[in-house]
Amino acid sequence: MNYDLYKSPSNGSSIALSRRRRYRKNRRRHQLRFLMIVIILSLMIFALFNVFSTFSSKHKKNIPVEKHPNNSLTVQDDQVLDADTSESVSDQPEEENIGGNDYSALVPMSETVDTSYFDDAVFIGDSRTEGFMLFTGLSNATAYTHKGLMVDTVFTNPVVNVGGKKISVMEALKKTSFSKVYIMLGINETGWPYSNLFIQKYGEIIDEIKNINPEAIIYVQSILPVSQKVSSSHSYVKNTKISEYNLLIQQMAEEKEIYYINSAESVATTDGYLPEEAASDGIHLKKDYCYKWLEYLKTHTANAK
Amino acid sequence: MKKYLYTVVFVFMILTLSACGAENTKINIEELSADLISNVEFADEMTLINEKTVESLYNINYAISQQVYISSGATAEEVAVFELKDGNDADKALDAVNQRIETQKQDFKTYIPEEIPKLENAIVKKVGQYVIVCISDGDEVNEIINSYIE
Repeated sequence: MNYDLYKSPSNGSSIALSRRRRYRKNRRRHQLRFLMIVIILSLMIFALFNVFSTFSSKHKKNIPVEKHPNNSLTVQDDQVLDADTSESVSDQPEEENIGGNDYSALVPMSETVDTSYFDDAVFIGDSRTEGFMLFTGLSNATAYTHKGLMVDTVFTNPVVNVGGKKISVMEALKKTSFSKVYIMLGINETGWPYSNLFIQKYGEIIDEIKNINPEAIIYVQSILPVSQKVSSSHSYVKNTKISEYNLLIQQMAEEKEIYYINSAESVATTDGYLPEEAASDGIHLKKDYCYKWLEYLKTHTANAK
Repeated sequence: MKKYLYTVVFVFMILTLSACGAENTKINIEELSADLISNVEFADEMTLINEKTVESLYNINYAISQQVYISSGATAEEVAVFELKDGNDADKALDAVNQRIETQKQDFKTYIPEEIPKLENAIVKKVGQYVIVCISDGDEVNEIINSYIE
C-alpha cells in the first residue's frame, strides 16, 4: 500500500479546510467588529440628538410669551374653574325667608346650601345654561342643555347623548334619577309671535316632569336679561319681551304649584339690563357672572333647613 | 451576507433616528395654549375649564394633561391641547377631537351659522403624543404651533 500516495491528498484537503476555517473565523470577526461600530455610531447619534433637543427645548422655554396689545383675554392658571372655590357674592338682595313652600311668591333668600345640593338636580336650558354648567364646573349635577333649546324642542329634538344614542331632553329625563329640576328657557322663543303659545308649551314641560317624578322639586327660573345694546338693536331679543315672558312664567309657577326663582336678579343692573361687561355679545354670560348666578341658586332654595 | 448585514444596520439606524423624532417631542402645553390665547385674535373671552368639564365636552378621560379654553357660547372659538401617553392614545384623542368639531358644526349650523367657517377651518394637529386644536379666525395659529414643535 502506498501510504504516501494515500495520505498526500488527505493532507492537502486538511490544509485547505483549515484555511477556509481561518478565513471564515476572520470574516465573522470582521463582521462582528463592523456591527459593533455601527451600533456605537447609532448610539452616539441618538445621544447627540437628545442633547440637541434638550438644549433647543430649554432655549424655547426662555422665549417670553408676548401679550397681544389689543387682547383683553385673561388666561392665568388660577382661572381653572371650580364651583367649590368660588367666592360668595356680597351684593345679594337681602330678603326675609318667608318659607319655602309658598308657590305664590318668589323663592326667597335662604341659607346657603352646599354644592352637594345639586347632586340630584337636573338643569334644563339653552346655551346660557350650557355656559353656566361648563363655567361653574358643576359636574355633580346633570345637564340637559343645548344651544337654541326651546320649550317645544325639549320634546322633539334629539340633543342628549344617552349610551351613544341621541334622544330628546324629555326622553332623557325619563331615564334619569333626579329629585330637583332647574329650568331656564325662553330667550330663543322671544321671536315667537304668540306669548300664550310659549307659556302653553312651557306648561306642558312641567306637566310631563310631574308625570315622570311627582315628588321632584321643580324650579323655573326667570329668563336673564340681555344688555341694553342687544335689547335696542336685536331684531327680536328685547328685554320688554323677556319681562313679559317672566311674568307669564311666574304666573304659571303659581298655578302649577312649582317654584319660581328670579335668577335674573343675580346678574341684572338696577334698570334691568345685563351689564355690558357680563357678556361679550350681551347675551352669553362670562364665568364671573355664571358664579353670581350659581351663588344666587345656592341662596334661594325651597327646602333649605 | 454583507447585503443582509447592511439591511439590518440600515433598518436599525432608521428606527433609532425615528425614535428621536415625533414620539420624543416635548411640548409645554401650558405655554403653548397660553401663547395661542394671547396672540391669536378671538372675538370672545376665552376661559380655561377644568378636567371634568373637558371630559364632558371631548369624551377624553385618558389624557396625561390638558389645557382647554372655551368661549361663553357667543362663538365656536376654542383652544385645546392634550398630552397623551403615546401615539396610539393620540390617534384616539384625534378622533374624539374631530367628533367634537362635527358636533359643534351641527349645533352652530342653525344657532349661529356665521361661526361655521371657523369650525370648517379649525386647525387640528397630532404631533407625537400631543393633539392640538385651535378654532379661530386667526392667521398666526400655525406659526405659533410650529414654533413649539420644530
